[in-house]
Amino acid sequence: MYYLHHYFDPDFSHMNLVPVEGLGGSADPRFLGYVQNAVAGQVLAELIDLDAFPNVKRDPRFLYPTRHLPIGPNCEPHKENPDKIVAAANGYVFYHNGLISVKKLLNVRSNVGFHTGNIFFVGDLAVHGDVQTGFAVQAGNVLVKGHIESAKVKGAGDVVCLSGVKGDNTSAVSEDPQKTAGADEAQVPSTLIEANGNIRIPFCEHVQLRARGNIIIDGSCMHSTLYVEGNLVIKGRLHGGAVYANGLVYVEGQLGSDYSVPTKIMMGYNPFDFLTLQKLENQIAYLEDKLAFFEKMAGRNHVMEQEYAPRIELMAAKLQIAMAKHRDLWRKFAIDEENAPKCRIVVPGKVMPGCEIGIARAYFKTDRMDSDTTFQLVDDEIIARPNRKNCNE
Amino acid sequence: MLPPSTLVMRDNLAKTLLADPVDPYMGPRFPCRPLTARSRERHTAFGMFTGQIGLSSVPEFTAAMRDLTSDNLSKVIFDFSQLTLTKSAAGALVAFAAAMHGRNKRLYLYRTSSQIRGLLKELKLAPFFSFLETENDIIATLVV
Repeated sequence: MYYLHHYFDPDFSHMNLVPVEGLGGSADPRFLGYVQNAVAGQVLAELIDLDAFPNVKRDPRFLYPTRHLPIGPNCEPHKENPDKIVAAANGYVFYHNGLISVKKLLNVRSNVGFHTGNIFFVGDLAVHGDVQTGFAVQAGNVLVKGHIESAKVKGAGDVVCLSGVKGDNTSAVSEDPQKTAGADEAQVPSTLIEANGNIRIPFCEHVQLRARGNIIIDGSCMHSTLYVEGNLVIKGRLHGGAVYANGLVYVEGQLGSDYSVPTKIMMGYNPFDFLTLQKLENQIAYLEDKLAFFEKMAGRNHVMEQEYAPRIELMAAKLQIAMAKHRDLWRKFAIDEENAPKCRIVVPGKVMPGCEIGIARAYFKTDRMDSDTTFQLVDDEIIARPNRKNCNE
Repeated sequence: MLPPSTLVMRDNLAKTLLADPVDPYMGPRFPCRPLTARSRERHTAFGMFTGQIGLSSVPEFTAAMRDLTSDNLSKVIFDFSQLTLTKSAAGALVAFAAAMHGRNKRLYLYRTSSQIRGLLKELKLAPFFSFLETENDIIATLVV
């Protein structure tokens, strides 16, 4: 007689989720354990010969009279021990038609919200609904068919949203959970989409996008901050906000706002160095404020001084470290000599006055309405020249 | 140059993190249990693991990771400098990371050994984790 011992929960069902209890007994409604992750090479089950190990705790459902391994898709026998079943790919493990299977794509056929909780998945993820406010998703490649609200979506590969991203103007979602406990870095975006690959979305508003690859926005980009290492294509308007890029920025509709909303494009440097620098500057400002507050409190009397002394010490240390990192980064912060001359901002549509453009050390501010223009760096100066089509005319 | 008080604090932190594995006050411990997982100050738990975690020690590893967390913690830092993991143990680490992510808490891997880095890279899991390299990085993450 053989017994199949599982290293995952064979009875797991995403239809019967309840908040998972923490050590202190409380349960967080945002963590429901929606998926059982499995990584390639992980042992999922093991066949045990009950004649050799008669005392094994057993579930009668998994007793087999013969040697039987229910190996399904993306599973394989262990190379050294053929009685073990291992995952052959990253994904989620479940029983399908009586076979242990690993599926690389997780389909969430509803909104990511209180029905699913936050989702952390090592494979690819397709959300058929929205990602609702206050929730977070992290996976390999991420596809969201609905909207992304004021939420965080992180992809180890690409992130695609088919309906659009509408964030909140306030910092409702903390990147750092401790922020709510009264301490940590300020200025965290309420809506964040981050991808190691590319990002493609129909429109975005009040969002921070960070992409190591390219960003394509099929509609307009409004009041958002974009960090893009590759190229940026906006088919509608770039209206307000800031873009940190180091390649081609193509704005088909309109660059700038009709209502003088500040619109800024910075190029010629690594955009993620900009991001780190901004984070450090925010952190330093925050720490200085907090340190001043603690010193004020400590100055009230001896008891307060004793109470606040360790906090002041730690705060001063953090401030020192942040300032040292800031100094180091500034030292290393150099113009990307290779890419800076290749940086282009191509605008076939309208260019509104008041847009700020920086490429390496050069700065340019549009002072009149224009159209069909390309901005580029020539001899350390940004020149705005009409596109070739107009020249020929 | 950091001020002397900071250096003292950093040294204390290092001592906490690198304390003697054989702690007479902690009693007998499983080989994979965190050695110095007692620091729960500043909403942060530190855990240090040594040895090799394989399939047989995954339940202990999971329990040890769970031991480190409590509801009022926001960050967990694991020192993995003296640890090696098998792929099954990497699965347990991913499950823990998922639990931390689900609860909106942060997990940092501190001084990760080259074996673990290589394994996470091979499994394409590296982008799912945050890594800390120096003690200054730890101080920078501490909550005041």
